[in-house]
Amino acid sequence: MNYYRHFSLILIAILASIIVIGNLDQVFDSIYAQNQGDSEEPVYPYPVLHKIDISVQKIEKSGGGGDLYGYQLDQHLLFNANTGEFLNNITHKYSSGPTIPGPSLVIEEGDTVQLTLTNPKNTGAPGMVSVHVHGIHYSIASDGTLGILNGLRDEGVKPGQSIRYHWTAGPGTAGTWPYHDHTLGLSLGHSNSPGTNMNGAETIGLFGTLVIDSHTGKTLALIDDKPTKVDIADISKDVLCYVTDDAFWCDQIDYRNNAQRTALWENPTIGLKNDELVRFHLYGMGTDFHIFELTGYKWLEPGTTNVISKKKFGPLENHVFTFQGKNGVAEYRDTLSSHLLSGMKGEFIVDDMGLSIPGKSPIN
Amino acid sequence: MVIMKMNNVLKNSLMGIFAVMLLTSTLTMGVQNGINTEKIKDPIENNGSVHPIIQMAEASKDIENEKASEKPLKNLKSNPFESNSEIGNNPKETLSQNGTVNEVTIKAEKLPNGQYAYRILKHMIYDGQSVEDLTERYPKIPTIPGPSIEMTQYDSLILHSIDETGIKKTQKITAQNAGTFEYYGEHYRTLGLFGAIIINPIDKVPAQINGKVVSVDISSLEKQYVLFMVGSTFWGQEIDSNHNQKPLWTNPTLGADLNQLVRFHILGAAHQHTFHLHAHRWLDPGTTNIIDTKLIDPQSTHWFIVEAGDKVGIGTWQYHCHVFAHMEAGMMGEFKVGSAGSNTQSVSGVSPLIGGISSVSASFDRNDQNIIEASKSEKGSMAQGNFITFDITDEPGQWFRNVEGESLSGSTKSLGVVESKGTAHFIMSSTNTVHTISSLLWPTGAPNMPFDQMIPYRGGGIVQLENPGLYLFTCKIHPYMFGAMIVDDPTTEGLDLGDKLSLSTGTTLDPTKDNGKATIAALLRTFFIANNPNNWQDYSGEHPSWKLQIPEIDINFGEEKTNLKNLLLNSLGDGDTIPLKTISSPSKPGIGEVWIDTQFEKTANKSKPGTATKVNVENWQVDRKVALPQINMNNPHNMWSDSQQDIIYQTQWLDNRLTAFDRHSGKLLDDIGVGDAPSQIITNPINDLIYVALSGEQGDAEIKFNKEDNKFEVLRIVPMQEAGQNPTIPQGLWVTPDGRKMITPNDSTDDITIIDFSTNFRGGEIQNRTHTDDMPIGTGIMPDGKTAYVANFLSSTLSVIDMDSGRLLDKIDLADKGNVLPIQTPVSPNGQYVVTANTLTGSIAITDTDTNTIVKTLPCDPGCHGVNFGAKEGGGYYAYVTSKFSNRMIVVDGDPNNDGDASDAKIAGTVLLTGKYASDGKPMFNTDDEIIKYDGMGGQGVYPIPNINPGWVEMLDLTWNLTQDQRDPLTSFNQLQNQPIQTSNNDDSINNHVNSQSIQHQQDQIKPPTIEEKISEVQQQSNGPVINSNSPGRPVHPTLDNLNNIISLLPVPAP
Repeated sequence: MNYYRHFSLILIAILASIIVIGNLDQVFDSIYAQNQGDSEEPVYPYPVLHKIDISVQKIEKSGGGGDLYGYQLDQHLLFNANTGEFLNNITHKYSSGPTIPGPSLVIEEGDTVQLTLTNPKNTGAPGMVSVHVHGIHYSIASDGTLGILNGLRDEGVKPGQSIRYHWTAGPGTAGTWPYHDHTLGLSLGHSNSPGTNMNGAETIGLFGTLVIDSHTGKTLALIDDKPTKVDIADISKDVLCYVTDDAFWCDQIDYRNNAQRTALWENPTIGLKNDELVRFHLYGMGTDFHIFELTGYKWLEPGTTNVISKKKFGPLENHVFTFQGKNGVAEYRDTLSSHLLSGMKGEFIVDDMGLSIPGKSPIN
Repeated sequence: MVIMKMNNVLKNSLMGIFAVMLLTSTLTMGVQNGINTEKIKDPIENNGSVHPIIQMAEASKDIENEKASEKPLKNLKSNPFESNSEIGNNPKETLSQNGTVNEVTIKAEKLPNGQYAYRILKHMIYDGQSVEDLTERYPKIPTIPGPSIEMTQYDSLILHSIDETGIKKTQKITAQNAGTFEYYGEHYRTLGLFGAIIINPIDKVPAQINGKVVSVDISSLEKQYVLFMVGSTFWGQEIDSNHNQKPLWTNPTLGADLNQLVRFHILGAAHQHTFHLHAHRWLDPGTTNIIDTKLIDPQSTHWFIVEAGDKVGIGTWQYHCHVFAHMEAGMMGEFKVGSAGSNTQSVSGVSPLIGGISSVSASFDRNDQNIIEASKSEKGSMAQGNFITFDITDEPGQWFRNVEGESLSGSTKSLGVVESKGTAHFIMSSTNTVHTISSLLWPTGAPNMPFDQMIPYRGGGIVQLENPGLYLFTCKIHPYMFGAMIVDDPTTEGLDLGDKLSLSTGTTLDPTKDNGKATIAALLRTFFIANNPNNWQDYSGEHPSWKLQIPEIDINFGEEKTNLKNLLLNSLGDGDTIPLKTISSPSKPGIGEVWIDTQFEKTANKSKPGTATKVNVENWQVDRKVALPQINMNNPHNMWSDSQQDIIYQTQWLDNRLTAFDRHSGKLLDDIGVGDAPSQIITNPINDLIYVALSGEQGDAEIKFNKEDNKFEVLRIVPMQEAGQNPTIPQGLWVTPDGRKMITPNDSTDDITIIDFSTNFRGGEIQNRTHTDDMPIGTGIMPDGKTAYVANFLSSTLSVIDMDSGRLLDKIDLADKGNVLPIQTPVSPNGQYVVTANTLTGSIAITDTDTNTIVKTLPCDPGCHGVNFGAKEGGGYYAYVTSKFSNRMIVVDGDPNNDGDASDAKIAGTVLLTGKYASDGKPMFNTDDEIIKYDGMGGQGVYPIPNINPGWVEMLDLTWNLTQDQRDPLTSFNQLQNQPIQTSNNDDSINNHVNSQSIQHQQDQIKPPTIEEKISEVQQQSNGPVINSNSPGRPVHPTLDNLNNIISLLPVPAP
């Protein structure tokens, strides 16, 4: 009798161990994730496969002058890239509905992405639309361009269609990269017919950002006038702004709030808590050039230890810098005269609240 | 190790030592200073207010004179190492202490199509012991870009350059720093005289290969590509691992095998660009930054190393400029990465080595065997030669100047003719402002058509024309700018215009049908008139006549063969010399004076054209011209004034400036940048704020003029659309008499924007946008501010807009009565009729505002353009009308018998816009510069003083000799609206009789609306699309006040 009891106890013990060991990864995950605190997204010690579903939605402007379009995040699931095991669903971290800029995607070097783009039949774009990304690795089949450009086939979606793009954040791809449409042809001139266009409609809202953080997790920032290495994990907010021909369009990721995205729309008020670290990701988009200034602040020219207080950049050039907020009200602006006169500026307020206030949104 | 090397590179850069010297007195060469060493310095330069980075590189939106940023860097004196010296024939004497001497001779040559290119003559290299001739590594033909001079760090270079006039110059440079630099000709840089100097480091360079930053030996590179970004075209070249160079010409395909190590050199010779390559990323030299898009302009060069297809594999990877307008204008090519071992070759693009059919002879031997060989060696692309380059200029009659010269002699400089197929290549190198390059007309079904861009820009364009026929290009902002290409099918006799032609409005023109033929003839006639100043009408002298020079060539139009001259002159009468009406001033004088922008006049001390001409309308004499040579006033287009009529505000349309000068003395008061291509200008009559339509931007500038210090202050730019929407091109705006609203036609988006100044605390918001027809361009407003008339340029219609609701009320077909391409269209101050100038047909349409029908069409001159109303002595109005391609002003009396009915409209007289000269040649009028060419020509904006338009007339002081009706046009309008008028206090029985008769006539035409109809109209208006962008529409319900107004306006039954 005792023998059997011992045996079953041992069996149970063995079984339990197997279960525990089998789930060790998850256990470690949750412990690891908890150790990161709730100030950022969990970092997994192995490559993650991101399955991201995005759709294009029309933003109708009934007052005339042409509609805008925005990418909308429908779903973002994380899987262990090696084992295929489901890790997390972070769809709730994104704003609902289409946003301009589109959803800000943040992944790690080493991750892979399966991006499924859908053009919903009645609410989407009237012609073929696509996602073309910069910086990350992808094969010619995921270029997001028309066949006449890529020599392969039209890599976009007509109304009612879906397409899947495959991206790999290999070594050396760390950085902030844009993604945008490259196939939608819209009204041009006086005989308007939506269809395809090798340039796309990137200027009317179809753009967003992909941030690939490196495994080393550090970046150079100007703190107290000195170039200082900081942990990316210590950054409280990512503020991502596209500077188009007529506005700053911004999105925000708040790491103090579980990496929640907030669409800030046009020329918003950007808020930061005293002494916190913020990373600005700026992109030019359109035809015009810009000269960016943040009154009262200096920062590092990316990839150098040069200190600057103004930066000129053009379409799809990026400018990414990290700095520490100083208590007070500053203004970010495009100092090119006609842009400044047209209102391309907004407030940057650093106080004990750190609240950003969205600007005007084109959604009525 | 790598970090140390990088620090060294950084240190050198930071010290700002430049590797290449620039001579200050050079005639032939400008050599650029080192790049990526520019730190953004703190402001306060000599002029105290402009940041140096802005001064140099802000070429696209600078409110200062844009030209300043495009000057070649010939004033930079920094010469880091060796002093300049004339070198003799024995370079061994000047051997640099550190190493090798390169002696290079290059020569600038003119190409058959009018562009220029450098050709290598010799490259010798001396290493202190032996001499080697490297000339074999270069092509034997002139190339764009020119030969790349490769050398190693610490080498010396003796550069002999022979410029396009044959003058030889020598420069000596010792290279301390590695890098890529540009050399360019002092003239013709934008037309092809540029090339690269590549200084290879003796150390290795860092690059990111396979995800890691490693040190790369330059000698291990498989090939190098040199790409210049110019206008909106890439000009390329390939250098193989043996340093042999091959021209790749325009937008080439760059070929490489998978994982081959390649280096790109990217330089700019004109305009601002951002270079981007799909699917690759690279280390930005001098930093640790990994990028894939880089700013390139005439002061910044860039190079980078990648493995072809690194981690992304084989494929056709696009490279292009990421400036959106440049993408639309064709600035792209392919980086073709083939599989390993496939030996994927680069393929050159089209080249200007072969010009048009009737090429002007060049210093270039067309029988040169090397050229002929080179022309055969490339597959496909060379056969597509026939490369016409149009330089976009501010010069009258040659806004699209074919740099080749006159394609058909004696005709125009704006036409290119090629055989079989051709390339239309554009570059905006002689203009101060932004433009678009847009197709107006093309052979139906031709590939790559229509060519267009969404937003005005600085740059150029390139497009392949593959079908035979006529291609017309224009600028959407300045629609009289024309360029044309004819692609001729060599198998047919005569120049081919095409079987069918498509207009950008969507209409197809069939030459076998009468109206198709007539329209094309009218377009071509306008083209040959506009683009040949000899064809402009000169009204001076006793017996003025007009001789039209049209080439007598055979053309094919569909199946029809005809002679171009016959086709174009047929409808003008016999012969090509047409007698013109002698100038004869109106019998009744006007009140005050009229200012006309004679936009094409050339004066002695200005490079840009245009003056403001003042006509005293009491004696019909020109008594002043204002050229403003001190600011090189550029194409003055429209004027307005302050409420006191003392200061004239003048826009400069082919520039970005607004100018103020004193009306009485012509003295310049202020001149500032306001934004690109300011076209129409007006003030708000209530507060004297100035509004300028910025046709090169997306809004109207709001400006204050401070009389205390005579200075402008730009307050803001009011956008005509919401952020992100398609760019509008605002044109002929108008403000309502009560100062509450502003209407602006948007040329590019085919609609109007109404701004309501009272809607929010920021002083004005978009009330609504209403779709009109194609290309709305001019406006007029009724005296009660309730209705606007908008001229649609391409559709030749007038849209009637309700200002309260924004609703489209009516549409008037101008073309129906023979009026095509309308421009300015003001309403008579008493609201009775609209006068519209039509530029294609050279005609004036008079529209009755009660019936919205055209009651009269009067003849005008070619390029009929500007209209504005002035007071007639004793009562009534004159409409002063100007035309671009004539030197006279036409005075229209829209209502000679003053009965409110404009069907008796007539031409009261004409005025010559040239000033008179005494027998000794001295001008008998005031002028600040000598008129040397195109005297009186180019009439566009008109501004009569005193300004008797409703809203402004009420602000005038009492010294003007105006009648009561003229001072109070709104009452006059209201009276004329009440039909019939009970003029019981009018003693003049004859007048009474006449009045009631004409009123009866009006009554017969209109059915007075019933009370029910009026009420429902108000209700309809209130439920119409009153869109306030922030809040949902607020319906306006008929109030008691409204009803009272309606009832008071109803006609009283006739006695």
